[in-house]
Amino acid sequence: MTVTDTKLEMIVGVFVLVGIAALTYLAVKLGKLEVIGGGNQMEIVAEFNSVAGLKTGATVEIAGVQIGQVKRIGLNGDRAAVLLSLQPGVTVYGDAIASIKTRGLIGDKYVSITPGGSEKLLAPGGKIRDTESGVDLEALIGEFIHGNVK
Amino acid sequence: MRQYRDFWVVVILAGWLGAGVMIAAPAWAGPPADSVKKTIDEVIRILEDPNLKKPEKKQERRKMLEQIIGQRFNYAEMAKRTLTGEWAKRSPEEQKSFVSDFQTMLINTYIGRIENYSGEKVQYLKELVSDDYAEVRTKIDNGKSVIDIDYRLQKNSEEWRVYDVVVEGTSLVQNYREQFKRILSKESFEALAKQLRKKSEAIKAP
Repeated sequence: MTVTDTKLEMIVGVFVLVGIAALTYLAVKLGKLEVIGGGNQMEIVAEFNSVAGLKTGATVEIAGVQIGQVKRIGLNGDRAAVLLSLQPGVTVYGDAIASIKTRGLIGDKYVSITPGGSEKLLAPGGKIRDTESGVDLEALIGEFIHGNVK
Repeated sequence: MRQYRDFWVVVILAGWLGAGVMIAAPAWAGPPADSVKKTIDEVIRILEDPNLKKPEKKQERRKMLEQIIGQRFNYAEMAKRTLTGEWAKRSPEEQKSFVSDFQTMLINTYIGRIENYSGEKVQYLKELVSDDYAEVRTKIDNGKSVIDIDYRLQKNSEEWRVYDVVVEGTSLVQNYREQFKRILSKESFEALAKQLRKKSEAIKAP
């Protein structure tokens, strides 16, 4: 092959790589993964009696603004332990309260935090002690249909 | 503040109106659960005292109830948590006045219902302790309904006191925190303090 052909192939190759990189970036951003720029996220834990449909990747909000996402949901004893990944610079205090809320009435579950402020700042790895669990809509409907012991 | 009425009815009814047939705290219960139970038992004792049921003893009985409840409920801590960051910005006098009005509002709203006690059963379900914080889970049964009430306590120099009550999954502190935040951001602390005082005086217990 001539030098020009090689050069051409190189240019094509570079373009392909750029294209793939761009697509990867797009996929990561859309998929809300933390692969890019995820190094400084602050992680804290919150334990709930029930997370009733909260999914990994769900948004974490303060005052309606997204400031992080749910990284992992596991069990700690018989309580749900939720690992929250927050943007750097978000300040959450010891008296913060984390609540699981629903978008609209039957939408996605998300975590809403009132950050508190009358106690010490939570360090990375800290735990939000006071939580409000999710409402189980099906259970409520069931109680409505079949009546409840209340 | 109005919608919280119902929760507090339940809370107080539930928390303080145990029954003749009270289920004793299980063997695993530690100091936090014992503290809650002690207060509930004492409140019931006062409510069931035939001597104190006389009409002329009403004020005296009310004072006794308020005192017992005040020993277990840390109103200052509750009020502080509803104000969050705003608390530190206020002067000691403002803080004291705010706590006082907050306490008055809560008491005025619910003492009347406590006094209408009629034998609810209190079940102690679980106790979670972590350092100086604890959560005591209870259930109140009045024959018709069963309500979940969790008490969140903090230990201050060996004394466990309640700083939040969670009724059916909803926190009292959170409820007021969000309402106060709205008023603080739209108006000012002075406006909030004034409204709280107005509200506490408007609700006059019967």
